[in-house]
Parts: sequence; C-alpha cells; structure tokens
Amino acid sequence: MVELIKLEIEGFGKFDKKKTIDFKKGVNFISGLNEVGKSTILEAILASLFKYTNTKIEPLFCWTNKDVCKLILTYKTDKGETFQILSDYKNVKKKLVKITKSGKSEISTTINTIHQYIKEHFGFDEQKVFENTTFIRQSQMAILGDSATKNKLRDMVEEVLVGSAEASATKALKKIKKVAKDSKKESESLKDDLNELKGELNTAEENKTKLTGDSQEHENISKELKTKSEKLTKLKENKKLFDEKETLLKDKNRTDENIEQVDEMIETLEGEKGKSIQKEQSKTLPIILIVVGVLLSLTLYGAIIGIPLVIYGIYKLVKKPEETLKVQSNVSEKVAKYKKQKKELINKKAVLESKLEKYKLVNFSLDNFRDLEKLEGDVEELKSKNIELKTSISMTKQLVKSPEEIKEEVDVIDNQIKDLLEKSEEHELASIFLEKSETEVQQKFTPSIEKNSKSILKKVTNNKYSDLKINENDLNITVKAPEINEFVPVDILSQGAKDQIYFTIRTTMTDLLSGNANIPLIFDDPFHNFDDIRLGKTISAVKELSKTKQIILISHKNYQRDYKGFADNVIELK
Amino acid sequence: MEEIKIIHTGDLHLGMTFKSLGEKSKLHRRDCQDVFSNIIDLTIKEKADALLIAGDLFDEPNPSKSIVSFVVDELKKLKEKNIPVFIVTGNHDPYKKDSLWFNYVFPSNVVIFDSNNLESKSIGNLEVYGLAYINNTKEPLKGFKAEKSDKFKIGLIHGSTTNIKEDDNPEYSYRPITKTQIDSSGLDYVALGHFHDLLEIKSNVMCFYCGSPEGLNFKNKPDSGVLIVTYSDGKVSVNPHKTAIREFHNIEIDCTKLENDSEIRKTLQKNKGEDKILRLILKGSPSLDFQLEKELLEKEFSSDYFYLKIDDRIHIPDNLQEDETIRGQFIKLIKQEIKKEKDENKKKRLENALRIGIGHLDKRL
Repeated sequence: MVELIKLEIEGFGKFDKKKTIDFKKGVNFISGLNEVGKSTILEAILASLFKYTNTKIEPLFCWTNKDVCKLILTYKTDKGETFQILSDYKNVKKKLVKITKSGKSEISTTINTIHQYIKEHFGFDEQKVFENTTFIRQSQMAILGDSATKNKLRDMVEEVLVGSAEASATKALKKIKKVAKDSKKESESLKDDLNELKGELNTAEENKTKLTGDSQEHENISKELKTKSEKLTKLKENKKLFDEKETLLKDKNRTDENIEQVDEMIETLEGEKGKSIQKEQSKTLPIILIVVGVLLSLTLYGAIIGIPLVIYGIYKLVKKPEETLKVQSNVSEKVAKYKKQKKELINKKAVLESKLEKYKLVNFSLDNFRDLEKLEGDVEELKSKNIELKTSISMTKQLVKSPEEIKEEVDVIDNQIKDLLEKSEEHELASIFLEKSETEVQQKFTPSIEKNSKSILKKVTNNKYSDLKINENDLNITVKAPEINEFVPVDILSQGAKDQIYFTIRTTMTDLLSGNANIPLIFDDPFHNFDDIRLGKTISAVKELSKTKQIILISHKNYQRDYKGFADNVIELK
Repeated sequence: MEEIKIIHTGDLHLGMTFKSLGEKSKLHRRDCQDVFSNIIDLTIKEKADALLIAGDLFDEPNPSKSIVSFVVDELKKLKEKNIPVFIVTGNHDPYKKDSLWFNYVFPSNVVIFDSNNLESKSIGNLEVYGLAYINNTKEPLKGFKAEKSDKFKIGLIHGSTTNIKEDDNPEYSYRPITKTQIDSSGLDYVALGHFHDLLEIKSNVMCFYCGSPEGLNFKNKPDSGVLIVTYSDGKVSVNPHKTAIREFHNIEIDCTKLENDSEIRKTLQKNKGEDKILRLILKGSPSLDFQLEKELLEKEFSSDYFYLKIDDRIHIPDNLQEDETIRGQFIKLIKQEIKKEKDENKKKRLENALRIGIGHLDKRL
C-alpha cells in the first residue's frame, strides 16, 4: 500500500506561510469551509507527483508570498521505503530524496529521472489518467443520481481507458472518420473536373498543332494566291489588248468590205450610164416610124395610119433625149458620192492599220484561253480556302485556352486532389489505428475489470453483489442480481448499489492502470448532495476500501455532524 | 579596337508552367515574358553590340504561337536598332525538324546556329562560335580551338561543365564540357547556358553561366539576372545585372520547441513582400500539442506575398507516452507502423495521422 505521510506547503495557493499536513493510514478527512485551501492541498499533491509547466504552475503561486513556492511530499511505497519529493517552483528545482533510519539520501535532481521513480512508485506518469482513476470528484458522483447510470458508468470506463485524452475514442473516431470521408468525397468531385480539363488539354494540344498547321497553310495559300493572281491579272490584260485588236481587225475588215461594196456600186452606176448612151443612139426607130408614116401618108388611105405614125415618131424623137439626160446626171451624182465615201473608208482603213501596227505583238492563243479559265477557277478556290482557314484559326483561338493555361488549371486541381487525398489518407490511418487500439485496450481491460472487481464488489456491498460484466465492445455494465441469479443492467439497481459499483470499478481500474501499486484514493467532496441514507451506505463502502488503501477525503461538510466516527485522521483547515 | 559590349542571357524557359506556384503560375509565366522584354530594352539602352541567348529560350520545342510571335516581335525591336542576336538552342528547345525553329520566320538580325559543330559567325569585331543543340551526348568543345584573331571571340554553348556534378542528376551530364577544353579553347569568353543560377567556371578563359533572368523554382537565388560582358583592349569584364521581377526565398523554422503557430506567424509577418515567392520550411519535432493548419496560414498570408507555400516537414517527437490506455496504445501502434515503413512519404502520412488522432483525442482539433 502506497501511503502519503506528510505534505509541507509554503507559498503555494492559499498557503502563504509554511503549513504541514500529516496523513495517516485509513481515512483522512480534510474539512473546512470554502476558500480555506482544501483544493490547494489536492493541487499540491498533483504538482508534486506530476510535471507542471511554468504556465501551469504560475497561477498557483501564492500572491501574498512572492519569494517562496515550495512543496515537500513525503510518502511510503508499497515496499515500505520512504521518499520525499521536494519542489522549489521559484527556482525551478525538484529533488527526490530517500529517507532511511540512518538519514536522507538524494536520489535525483533531474526532472525526468524523478518522474521515472514516481511512475514506479505510483504506477502513473500521466496526470490525466491518475485523475481519472484515483481522483473521485463531486461532479462525477453527483451524476450517478441521475438517470441512465448505465451510460454514465460506460462513459467513466471509456474516459479512463482513453488515457490522458480529453475526448473519448468513440467521439474522436466519429470526427476523424467524417473528415476522411469528406476529403475523399471532395477529391472525387475534383477528379471529375480534372478529367474534363484533361480532355480540354488534349483538344488544346491538337488545336495548337492545328493552329500551327492552319497558319502555315494559310501563309502558303496566300503566297500561291498572290502568284496566281498576278499571273491572272497579266493574262487578263493581255486578253483585253487581244480583244481590242480583234475589234480593230473586225473594223478593218468591215471597212474593206465597205470599200468593196462602194467599188461595186460605183462600177454598177457607171455601167448604167453606158446603157443610157446606147439608148440615145437608137433614134432609128422613130425615124423609121416617121419615114414609114410619111410613105403611108402618100397613099390615100394610108394617111390615116401614116400621120399618127409620123406624130408618134416625132414625139419619140423629141421626148427620149430629155429622159436620158436626167438619168445621166443622177448617176454621176451618185458616183461622186460613192467615190467620196470610198475615200473616207480608205482613210479609216489607214487609221485602223496604223492602230493595228501597235497591236502587232499582241497574241492570245487557245492555250492562253485555257490558262485564263483555269487560273480564274484556281484563284476563286484559293480565296475561299483562305477564308475558311482564317475563320478556323480565329475560331480555334477564341474557343480554346492555350495548353499552358489549361495545364496550369490541371496542376492546381492536381495539387488540390493530392492534398485532399493525403488528408483523407491521414485521417483514415488515424481512424484505423485508433479503432484498433480502442478494441485492443477494451479487450484487454474488460476481462481484468470483471475478474478483479469481484472481491472489491463483495467487500463494498457487504457480500450482496459479487459479479459484474463489462461488454468489451460497448462497455455496457451488468451486475449479477442474487435474487434471480441473472445479470441485470445497473440502471435498475438502487442508488446505493450504483454508488458501490461505481467505487468498485474506479478502484479496480486504478489498480489495473497503476499496476496494482495500491495507491491512495482521493475524494474531492464527492458526497456533497447525498441524502443521509445514500451517504451512510457510501461511507461504509469507502470505509471498507480503506482497509487496503489510504483514503484522502476533502469535504466542506461538518465532520462531527455528518461523518462522525468515519475517519482515522481528521484535519481541520481554518 | 573599340570596346565591344554584349548581353549574355539564356534559360528563359518561356512558356514554362509552374506547378509549385499553383494559381499564380499564369502570372509568373507572364513575368518571364516581361523579363525578356526588359532584356531587349536593356540591350538597346546599353547600346550593346549583340544579344547572346545560350539556349532554352523556350521551354519546349513547340511552344504556343502567341509565345513565339511575342519573341519574334521583341527581336524585331533589336533589328530596328541594328543589334544582332545570336541564339543557340537548348535541351528544352532543341534544333530539330518540326520544332519552332523550322515553323517560324525570325527577323534577319537573328542568327540561329543550326550546325551540330561549333561554327563561327562574325559581325564586325565580334566573332561568335555556336552550335545547335541536337542531342544530349555531344561534347561541344572537344578538340576545339578558335582561330587566332584580334576579334572578340565568344563561345555560346548550352551544356554542363563536368566539374560540378551534383547527385547524379542526369541534367548534369548533358553535353559535358571539361575545364581543360575551356582552357585550351582559344576563346576570350565562354557564354554558357543550362544551369539556372549565375555561376563562374574558374578557368584560363572567362566562363560564366548567366542563369535564368527570372527565377523558375525554389532552388533559384533571389537575384536572377543577365550578364553584361565588355571586351576592351583584349580584356573581358563581366557584370551581373539583376532582372528578376519576383524573388524566390526559402526560410526554415525549427518547430521543436513550439506549442502553437505564433512563431510561424511572426516570421511570415516579418518577411512579407508582394514580389516574394516564399517557401516556409517547417522542420523539427514539436510536441503533439502543436497542430499545424497549413492551408489556413497560407490563405491568411496569401495577400502579403506573390506566393506563399508552407512546406510541412515536421516530425513527431521521440518521447511519447506509450501507456496502457487507448491514447497510449494508439501512439504505440502508429509508432510501430512508422518504424516498419520504408517510404518517407508514407512515414510522414503516418506521423500526421498520429498528430491528427491525438489532436482529436486531446480536443485540440
């Protein structure tokens, strides 16, 4: 059994001057009203046993004694050896001293070594675990009076098992798993974005090649178009000259034709003139007519025919020369006119011929015609091709971001996914190992709790109960009810039985986690609100426990009135 | 002979994207182009006789059209001033069929070396020996000796000097150049490209890597620039000129004694600068109370820097409580797993898992 023997306090918490508290075996009852330093004593025990950082110890300095802050805790180990922990917080010093009959011997002054010894003696080096087991607080006991004791007990066991942690493994696991799941989910949705972008990147790469190809083709076609257009313009010019030449030639030919026609006309007219002269020479017919007429008139009756014949013959002889003259002058006029016309035409022909002289070299072959036709077609085709290419280039440029830009977007999402997957993996790993350690610890401890609790349970319940079970998975506690010889949930038991079971489990776990160091149980005013019956039963349970463990109980209640006869050592603080 | 002045640059890697800069990559890509414009302006302002580009002007053999036409337009500015440009290709933009060198027309003041052997091109009293980058293995200066003349003879080469081999990185074996080869080259100045930081190669001949004029990654020093090389009376002098728009910085913090991130915040506050690209490397083994909220910090300080990256390289401390409780067992199990794991990345994941688990158990998360 580990026993606290003496606590000396100076300049710590409520104690400015040196104060010595002597502990005894069995139940030590520390009483006093609020603010007299009851909790300072508990804090002093914890500070002596565990590592307190500066930030943790500073609020515990006594504000009315600025020079000293010292604690000396003297205790006896399970093996019966006596040690002293001397803490000097103002000078940041700690010392472990062994006390034998022959005197004091220094064991260590280095913090880490000292705490190794303390762990060996008290079974704990984690304050939180120590507090969760051996320290029973008012709040913890009070809730047992409420409903669902089953859950409260389970929470208590869970809290003890999780060690120095603040949250239970179950609660921590729930949170960790959620983060793992959420990050995974987020990364999945990002992966869809990524795939889409990667598709875009492929298109962009293709487009880059296409753009370079298109631009080059556009350039090539433009060059070809330029040469062909130039050629075409030349040919067209040539064609125009050729056409002009053709027109001139046609003109010339027509002029030639005209001249021929005029010549013909003149010839015809001159022929007609000749005919009329011939007509002039044939005056013989009227003369014959006159002669015949005269001769006839010489006959008696012949005058009837002869005289008209003479008249007609004379008329003919006189009239005809008049007509002929008229015709003759008309023809001459016409001939002159045509001759003038011919002259004009000849002049025109000369002009045309001189013009044509300039076009002497102008030629346009059948091949030239074919070329022209082909070039016209080619140029049209090239032009439309170039328009197509230009549209395609500007479309490609407009529609798609550059591969660099998309690659950058891909990289950003890639990084995000990588981070999220790492986060998810880390949380996943944390949850796997936490779950594993939870299972392992529960599987390891629950049988021990069941086994080791039997004797204690028997003792504190005055042999009424002797068997409890803790489910290794959900930590539910059931107790064997002697009346029916069956395991029942703690909720249905009486308040007294609940308290007793609570003590039993706390004590059992203290022993288990401290490696059966048999350390003192410390009660921080836990029975505050208990009614007389509950208090009576609890006291007798604690009294029972005190046979194997030193009990240190702090209460602001009046000892003489409420606890009389309970303690082996009563310390009144004033 | 009148003084000859040239600007020596290279390794611009135009068109390069920067994965480590996340969403700022696009802007930094633009910075690299701006720096090229600035170099053109500097060449004009300094009335330099030539601009020399020692390879890797482009990051890839087929950059986007916009990048190449940008470069062509910039080079035209030098044509207007009658300043020649000598370009050798690098391992990123090698001289090969279907590469940009064949797909685009450069202005007539630009000399692009297209032979696999050192060839000389001279303009006035300046004689530049260069060779196209076609493969990785060729030793550019092997058996080379420049003809004796009064001209300012420069070797313009993309390759690696073999005396500074670093951790068997293949980059360092590209196009090997030995000190002996430089010594006996008969050149007045060797303008090298390939390594991204300014570096002098000590030799009988003045020999320099100009480095990238704008930082490309966190390995780069913050004062990247070009070299202004002058030749006068047979003497060569080399003057670095800073051109970097942004500066890459690395800061390390040992977090071993930290319990929270206030020290980190102080450092971030103290070092801020809107053109700075900072990588804050966190090292050491802080206690499990220390929880790093990397993304949150990066977000909070993102506007104080051009880019901020927090590199988490912290480890878990050695002296962890491995007691019989769930918390203790959790630590024990993960530590066992970490010990077994060989892969450093997976080790780190497990360490983070430990910190996360404890963070939740101790309600610090």
